[in-house]
Amino acid sequence: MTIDMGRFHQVFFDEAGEHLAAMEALLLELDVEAPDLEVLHAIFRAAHSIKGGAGTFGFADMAQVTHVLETLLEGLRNQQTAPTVEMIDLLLETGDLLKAQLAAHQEGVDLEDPRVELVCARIEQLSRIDPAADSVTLRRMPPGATAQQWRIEFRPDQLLREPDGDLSALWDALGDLGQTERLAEDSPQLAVWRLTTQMGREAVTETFAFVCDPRLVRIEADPEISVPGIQGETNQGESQDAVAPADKEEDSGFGFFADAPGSERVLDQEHDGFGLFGASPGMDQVAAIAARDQDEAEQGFGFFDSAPGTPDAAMGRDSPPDAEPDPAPARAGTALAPGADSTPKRRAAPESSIRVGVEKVDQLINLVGELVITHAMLAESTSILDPVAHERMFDGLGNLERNSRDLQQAVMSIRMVPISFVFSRFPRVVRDTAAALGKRVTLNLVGEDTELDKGLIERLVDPLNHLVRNSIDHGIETPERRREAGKSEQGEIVLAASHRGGNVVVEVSDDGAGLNRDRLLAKAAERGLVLSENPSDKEVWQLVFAAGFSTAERVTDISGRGVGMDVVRRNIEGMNGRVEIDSQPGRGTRITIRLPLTLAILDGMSVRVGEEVFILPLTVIRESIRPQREQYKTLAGKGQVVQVSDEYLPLVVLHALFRLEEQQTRPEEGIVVIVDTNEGRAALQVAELLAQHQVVIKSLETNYRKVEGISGATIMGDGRVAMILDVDALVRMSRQRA
Amino acid sequence: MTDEAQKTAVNGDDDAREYLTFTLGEEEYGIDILNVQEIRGYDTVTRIANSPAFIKGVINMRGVIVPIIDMRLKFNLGEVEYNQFTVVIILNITGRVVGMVVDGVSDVIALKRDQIRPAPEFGAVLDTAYIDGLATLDERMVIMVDIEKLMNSEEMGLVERARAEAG
Repeated sequence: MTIDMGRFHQVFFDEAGEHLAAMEALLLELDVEAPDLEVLHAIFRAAHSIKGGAGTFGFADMAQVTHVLETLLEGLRNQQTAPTVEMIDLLLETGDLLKAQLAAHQEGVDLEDPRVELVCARIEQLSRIDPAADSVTLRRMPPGATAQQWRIEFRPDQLLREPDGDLSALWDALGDLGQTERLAEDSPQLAVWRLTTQMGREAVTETFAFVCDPRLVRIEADPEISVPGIQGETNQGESQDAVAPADKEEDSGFGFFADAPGSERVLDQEHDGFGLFGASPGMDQVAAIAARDQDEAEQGFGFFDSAPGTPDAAMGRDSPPDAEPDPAPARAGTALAPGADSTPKRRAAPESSIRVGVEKVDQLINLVGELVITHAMLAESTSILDPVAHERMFDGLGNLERNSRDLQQAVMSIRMVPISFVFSRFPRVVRDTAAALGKRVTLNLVGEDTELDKGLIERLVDPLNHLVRNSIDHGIETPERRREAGKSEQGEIVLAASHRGGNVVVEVSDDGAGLNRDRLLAKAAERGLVLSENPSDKEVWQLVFAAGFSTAERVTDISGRGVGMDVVRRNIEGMNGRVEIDSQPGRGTRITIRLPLTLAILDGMSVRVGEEVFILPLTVIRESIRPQREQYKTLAGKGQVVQVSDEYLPLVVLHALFRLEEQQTRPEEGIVVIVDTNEGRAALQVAELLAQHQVVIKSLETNYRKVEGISGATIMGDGRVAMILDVDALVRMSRQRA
Repeated sequence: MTDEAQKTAVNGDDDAREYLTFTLGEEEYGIDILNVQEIRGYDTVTRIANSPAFIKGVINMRGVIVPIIDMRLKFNLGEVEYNQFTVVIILNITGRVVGMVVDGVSDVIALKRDQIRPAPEFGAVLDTAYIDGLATLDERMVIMVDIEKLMNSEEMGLVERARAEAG
């Protein structure tokens, strides 16, 4: 059976990426003092899923790293080792390494990185501290060695009528078979023991049969040594080997799986049941044992009952790593896949999302846009008819309009994703940056559910990254200084997102020192930047966005080179957005980013210039006026300006700029639209304002090239194309011409 | 290439390809029919600011914004008139859709590779760099144009210099 693996690679890349992100988020969430077992389990599952996928697709390097990682995590979640800050740091670092490896595979190369060895060695060192150190030596035993480790789990209160009395007797009886050890503190709800013995499962079961019903005891091969050659690379082959016999047994196998989930029982044990999943090492072991114990249907049954499916079921919490089917079963074997992967929980709630390529969604958006335009054309051509005589037709058209608008909105909402996709990376960024700078910073996220266009989400990452790092570096003071200023040592950064009047507003605020007006002015003078006399605070803050402008006293590797903020502004403006700064000395700084909801649709005003119609984005329009002749002035070196109240705004004459024929050449016959640009306000002269529209933005570059002063094109109700104006570029062009 | 496979099947000929011929001024040109998406009449265009005169503007073709260039203006071929007989050949050049106004569309011809002879240096309106060769067809001479090369050329100004896709 040959399967084109390439098809699945992308799925693996996507999912491994998600697992890594989830793992990182969970690690950051983990409280070292009081580790939450569920979180530890979730981290383990994420690592395990990556390992499974990597093994299946032959990415041996990733499988190896995750394998080592898993060993450490296994100790953590079995509470053999207690998490330390050092460990979390190492785990985060390993996550980064895996990301790098993943990125390398995505480009079709193997990552050559000395860190791999280093990180693996350090993890191994850390996992070796655990009390089960002997497992490490045992792991080195050659395959086929006769000694077996059995992991035994049971509920003493269920099995034994007199818990205290018989438990030690049982312990001694097992001691006769080999070496016993307690993996966790015994409690009435759970006892987890490990037995190293040369005897087989039967012997162990028999020992239990003396005191209780052996079916209530879970006995399984300890993952540490049960599978030979587990060192990662062989993962794939091994799981396939193991699957083969299970496959043969398809009939009985299916019998297992049909009953397998055993959801009620498992869920009943939710509170104390974590130990049960302690050894749910995944399907390779499952398969190995299934193959070995073909004749022991009873026990095999019990085994499948809990091990593979349980983590999800018992967790009962929504954990992203498991929301997607593990890529491994896709190939590893048909008989195994349902058992290993379909948890009781998933059965109850079937797959509720699908992965769709963005191009497909865009195509849908295009088509719906066309539908809206077609409707507009129909409406226009029927407008000459008598509404009474053609009542039904007008009714129909009305319905069509409503439906197509609804459809358009529904389709647009497909592209919308919550901003938490961007925000989720910042706990890590803040943690690392603050640690590097010796500052103490907490991060608050507000409005993570705010949705915006996927295209914008991706382009928001870099600017926000810059802003957050800047806030930590320049905004938040050192703990000492904060104490002196009477603030708490812990600085705070708030990342907030919200919808405001058809825009998405993202704010990055800190409670740090704020911007220093005098220093900014001094710096501006030093660099020869021209400012108006007695500039407003807002003008001064805008200086921060000038290229190469940094007021940091020293350059750190995090910021201070002055290349950041102008890039931030350019990126935001590239999304038709705006950035504003607000700052109070000693109180903090707030940077506000305003973005359109989507890149695909724009609210615009159609304006006429000569014979042509252009669209002006509504977000840039301040007001429109019909100035008197005396309001027009020509300033030396600045070209034409319009005086509005007491301000002189540069005049952009659109028909001159675009070389269009214009009947009225006298400016006072036209209309002047005051617009916001990145260089302040400007006056745009047009012939007429026509109407307000919601337009679908189309790229001119698809079939043509970029045109200066034009940000895109759209199709109007009459089917004609109209250009969308880029006011920033227009002002620039106008100044160059002057 | 299923299209090609189909075409050979239809022609029953191994290496014959089909070409669309059109006239520009006095000369007849041929282009590979696989580059032709459709042929349509001339619609009102929306002008593009500050573009050369031969780039007439853009049209909306079922939701796709398509630039229209007038080859007659590009090659200074006398009088240019836009009426109901004006023909636009919509080309698809490696995924980019471009409309080309010509004097008229004449024929679809099938030619074998050996029927196309290398072009000598001659005074056609088109630079020899964009000419694939010459074919003779019942006393008519057809100039075979490498339309992909022509449309991607800097001279046409249809694509960004260096084709920076990122921009």
